[in-house]
Amino acid sequence: MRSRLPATALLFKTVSLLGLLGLGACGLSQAQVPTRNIPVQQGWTLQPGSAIGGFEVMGGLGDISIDLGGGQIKAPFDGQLQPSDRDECLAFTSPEVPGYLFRLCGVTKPRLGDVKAGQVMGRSEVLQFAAMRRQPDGTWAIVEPATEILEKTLGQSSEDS
Amino acid sequence: MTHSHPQSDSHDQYSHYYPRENATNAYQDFAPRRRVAQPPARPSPGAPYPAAAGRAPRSLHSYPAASPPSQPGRRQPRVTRRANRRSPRKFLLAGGSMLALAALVVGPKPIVDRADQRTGEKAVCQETVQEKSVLSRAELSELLAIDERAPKADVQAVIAEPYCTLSPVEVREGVMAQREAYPLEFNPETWFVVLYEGEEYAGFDFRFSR
Repeated sequence: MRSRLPATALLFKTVSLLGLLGLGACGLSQAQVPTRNIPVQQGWTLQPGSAIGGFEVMGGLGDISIDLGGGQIKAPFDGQLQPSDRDECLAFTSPEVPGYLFRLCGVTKPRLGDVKAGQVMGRSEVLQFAAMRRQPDGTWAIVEPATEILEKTLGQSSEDS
Repeated sequence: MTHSHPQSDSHDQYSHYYPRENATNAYQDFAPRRRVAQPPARPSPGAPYPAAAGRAPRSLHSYPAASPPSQPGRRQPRVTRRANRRSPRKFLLAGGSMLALAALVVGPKPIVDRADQRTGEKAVCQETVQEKSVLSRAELSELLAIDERAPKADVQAVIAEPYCTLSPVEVREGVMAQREAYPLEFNPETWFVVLYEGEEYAGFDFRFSR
């Protein structure tokens, strides 16, 4: 009895410490991902999130719309997925492609934060994909994305197609 | 937060543990803990066992001084005494193992620091160009001042050969992009990655190898 009591205390302390550490680790990994402002260089009136005649605009000029039918969206590179200033759109950036940002609208259940290349970032019925290139004034110009990037985002390597 | 409060508190609580002259010790905050960890082998009979005894933690006061052995009426079983005397050591052990665990969780990072550049290199580079190439603070601040879409030559006037190149990538339809990487001189696990499209500089980013 006398030898078991301190051992139990020790076990209890260790377990509670491990629990605490685990809790801390979870807290860190689920930390709030900062929202990204995406000022678009082309100041078009209608953009994703705008309203027209009481209806919501899903994609604007420069967005590639892809019917995914609830399919997965994967990270084309190691990078970060962030919420954007428009609720329905996300921003994906990667240090592997400096100077570029990919705007993804219409994504459900997004996995925000750091993502690895090929990792699922979310799902979508109809994905609105825009590739954006950084401008000297800090705005982002919508450009035509390479098909290779789109294929990677849809989870296919270029050899598949 | 000032220090006056916690100090006076701990002094109150543990005043019986250390002599008066220690009161001016700048490190007295730490003194009580050390004392608690190693209970006196033989409590001096003259030591005032204080008013604080009532509210002090059990582990501190369950050792023999609480019941002087010279009392004939109350028998204190030896077993309990030994167990009680050992319990602080158990707690020390528990504390130590927790510290070790914490060190294990926090520690590995600095230990593998040197290997970081090599792991970073594997993650970042496709082809090494110049192994000695690093980016100094001065070069970095000059680079940050260059606008996107400036001529590639502007960037290359600041930084010479890259440490390595990454595989060419097509981000924009019909335009091949070249990428080069430099480890930071003052933080080798962070890489400065720069992207060019033809003769145009497109932008930079930092890659952290974790």
